[in-house]
Amino acid sequence: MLKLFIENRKALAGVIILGLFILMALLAPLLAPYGPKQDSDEQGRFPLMAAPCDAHPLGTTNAGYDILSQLIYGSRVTLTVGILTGLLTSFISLAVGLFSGYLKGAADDVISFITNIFLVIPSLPLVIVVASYVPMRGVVPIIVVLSLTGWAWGARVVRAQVMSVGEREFVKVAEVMGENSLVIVFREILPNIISLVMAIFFTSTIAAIIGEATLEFIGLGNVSTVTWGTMLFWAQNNAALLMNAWWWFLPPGLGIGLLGTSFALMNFAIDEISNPKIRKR
Amino acid sequence: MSETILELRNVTKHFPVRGLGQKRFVHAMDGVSFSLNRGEILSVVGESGSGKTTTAKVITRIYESDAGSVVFQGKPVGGKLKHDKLLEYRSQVQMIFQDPFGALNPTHTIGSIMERPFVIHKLAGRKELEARIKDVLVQVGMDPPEQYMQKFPHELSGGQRQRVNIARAIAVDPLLLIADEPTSMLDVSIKMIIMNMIKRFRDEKGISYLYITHDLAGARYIADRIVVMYAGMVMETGPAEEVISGAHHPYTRLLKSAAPQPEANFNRARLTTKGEIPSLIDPPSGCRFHPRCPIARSECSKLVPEIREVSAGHFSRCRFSS
Amino acid sequence: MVDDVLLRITNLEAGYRLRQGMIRAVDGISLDLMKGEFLGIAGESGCGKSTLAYTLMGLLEDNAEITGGEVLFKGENLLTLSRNRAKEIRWVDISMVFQSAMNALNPVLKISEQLTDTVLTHLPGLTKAKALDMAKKALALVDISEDRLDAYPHQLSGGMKQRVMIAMAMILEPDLIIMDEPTTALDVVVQRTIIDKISDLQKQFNFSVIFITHDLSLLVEISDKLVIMYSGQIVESGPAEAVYRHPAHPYTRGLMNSFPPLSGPLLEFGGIPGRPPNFLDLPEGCRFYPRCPQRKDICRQLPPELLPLDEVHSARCHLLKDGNA
Repeated sequence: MLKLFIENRKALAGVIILGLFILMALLAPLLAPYGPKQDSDEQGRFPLMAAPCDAHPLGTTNAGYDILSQLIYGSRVTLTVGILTGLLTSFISLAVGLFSGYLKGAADDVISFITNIFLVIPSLPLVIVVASYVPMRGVVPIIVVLSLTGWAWGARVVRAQVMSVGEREFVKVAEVMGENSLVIVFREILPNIISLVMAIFFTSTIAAIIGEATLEFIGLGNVSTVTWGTMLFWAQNNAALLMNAWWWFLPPGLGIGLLGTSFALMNFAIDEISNPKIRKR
Repeated sequence: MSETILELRNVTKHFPVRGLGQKRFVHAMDGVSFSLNRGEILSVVGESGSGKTTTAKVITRIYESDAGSVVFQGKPVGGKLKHDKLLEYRSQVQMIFQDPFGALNPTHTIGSIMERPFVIHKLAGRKELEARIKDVLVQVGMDPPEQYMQKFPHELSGGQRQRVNIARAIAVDPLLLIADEPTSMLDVSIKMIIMNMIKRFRDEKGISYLYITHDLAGARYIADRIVVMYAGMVMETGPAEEVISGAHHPYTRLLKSAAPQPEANFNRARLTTKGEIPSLIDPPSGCRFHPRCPIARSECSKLVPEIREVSAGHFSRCRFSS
Repeated sequence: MVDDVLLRITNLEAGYRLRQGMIRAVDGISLDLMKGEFLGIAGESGCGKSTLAYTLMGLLEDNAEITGGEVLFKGENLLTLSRNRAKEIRWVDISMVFQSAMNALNPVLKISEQLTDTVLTHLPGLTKAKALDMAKKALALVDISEDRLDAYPHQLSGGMKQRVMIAMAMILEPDLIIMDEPTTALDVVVQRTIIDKISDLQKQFNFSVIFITHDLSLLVEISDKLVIMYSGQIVESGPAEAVYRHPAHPYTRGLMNSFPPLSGPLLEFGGIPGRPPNFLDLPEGCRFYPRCPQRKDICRQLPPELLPLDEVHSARCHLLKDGNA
């Protein structure tokens, strides 16, 4: 399946975009012309709210920070938080879905009930409310809040698939062979829902990236850290839109959009691979 | 002498049907009784809804019976069993399913699939595992076995997949093998090969078989004794040749008449029939075959007939047939 | 008489184009079908019998191609018809009964609607009342009572659904009905009822039938003529009784050896080991060579022709040339 993934054009596009962003984050010190919060160099202070020019290809913020450098350095936190949250959310979804789907009975009833509660509550208001009550501001609370509120959809889907796979004959064969339940879940069922798990990871990561950006945009992140979301916060706070300082809000906004798109492309690819009917030849 | 190794005593299994209002049930098995002797191939013959697959699943504990008991080697099979007792049962009673492809996990190689019986029942150490697997694959005709170890199920033909299923089942050296329509999804030319293999394992290893099928001719070919089931109940039991050539129950006669028989003369008398297999949620009262039976009388709809011996070892649930 | 030939297939070639090559599932098929004749086509999975059926009906998928040959139906070549003419012929002169009624019947339409739809699509001038009348008559022919007219497919049993399919195929009184494994998914007793019904209707209305199945024992009982297909080719053809009593081709013999009898002596039945060849990697000589118990050297080198054994019975085997039948 890995081979099919690499051959798929959408997947390739997604991987390339993501790869470029990851490179950008890793090589930030080499790529960025200045530090993210550097407001002067040996030639003097940087201009404030400057439009793009030779020294500052993406202009500067109201505090004189170079936006290009901020963009490059900001990718580190944005990427890390997005992917970590995506991983954590998918992991919770998978664990919950696997167990409630295979064990069924009373355990499933309880878990499903809890899942349904999380599903029914609108996620964005919930996330905002919880985040605003958490005393800390920063990256860790964002990761925790987003994962604890975002796992329900994935769990529901995994549960349905596990129940469906569990009815297939090779699972019954394993039971008749004497295989124990834990082994059945991990050895027989899990490999058959791999593409679903990957799809859930990609979807959760997109949601995480956007959720992170949203929280930071409204000021619930740590506004002194440089991330794409906080860049948008500061841009908004300084009326960048009104002043038509597109060089401040457009780059981080586009960055977030492209990052999400890269995961969406990979998700489409997984869809196509798993469903031969929509696969293009 | 042949001892009884499996006995079903009045086994009943009903499945609840979801719906509004009063609870209804699918009467999948009702008072099913028969026995199987060591080294014997007993064929359960029936159409859809006869209860034959449910019978297999009750014997292998996929389902738990609602009433009656399944007794294997003198010990009851149902209820809660301690882990080691259950594992022992699983090494003695195995099953081959109807769909050769569905019974194999598509994400595992054949080698990986074949490991499980040995690992679960601790039949081979790590060093001899591969040798044991290859040995079993050769026994089912997959020679040279190395060629198949790394393949995935979708790379094999239907016949090869079923051979793997059989290999997996005999790997634990079972006493009883339940074969649920093992050839119905295979190509015609492979059917006989699989059936002959099953017979050979009985002759060489003494494995007893419960061979489930809808094909009366196939049952005649392979079985020592036949049990005919209809709408969840046993209708006739007896030595294979006798049940077929001397069919007593009207349903057995209908099955025989409906089967293709090109070797008989080309224009033979055909038993006409009306109706179809009844709903199991609301089965007919009394004898379940009475709505379609050519010799049904008024008593047939009132009382479920008992099963009685009509000649040595030959039992039938019809009072009025001759 | 030549006039009685309803369908004449000459060297038909059709298949599927894949990246790796062309799969010629129908590879040079020639046969004649007379008016009122019941032709049985037997073969296992992958022999090309379904492709043949779909080619005749014009129902091949987009990735399939017809690469050669001619199909003359009452003198007209079905492969070169204009779209309109094809529409006129389809279902009115040639219709089809598919394998799985569950998949072929629309689950959200009553069966009366599906039948009247069929009529009105092909005979648009008729009134709805007339179409309904025809529907009732068709259902009566297959022993479905009028009170089931407004039933939905899921309310009918498997056997009844298949009978509805037959009614739909017969409703416009075609000259030829192609049946692709119509009873395979049904129980033995129901299968027998359906087969008997088809046989009766065929004798009553004198239409021709092409009946495709893997169940050779069934075909022997109901067909006038039998054709055995293997790997895209016809390997034997002839009157049903002749092919049954004197199978000439080793594959036919192997197939006959796969149906243990219900009466008579119980001999050892062997079946045929091995699998059919891969269409992308066909052997040079006879396609059955790898599995044939009687093969000779010439079989490996030269593909055999379909040769007549007598006026009506032919087989594709080198062994028959020297009277080695």
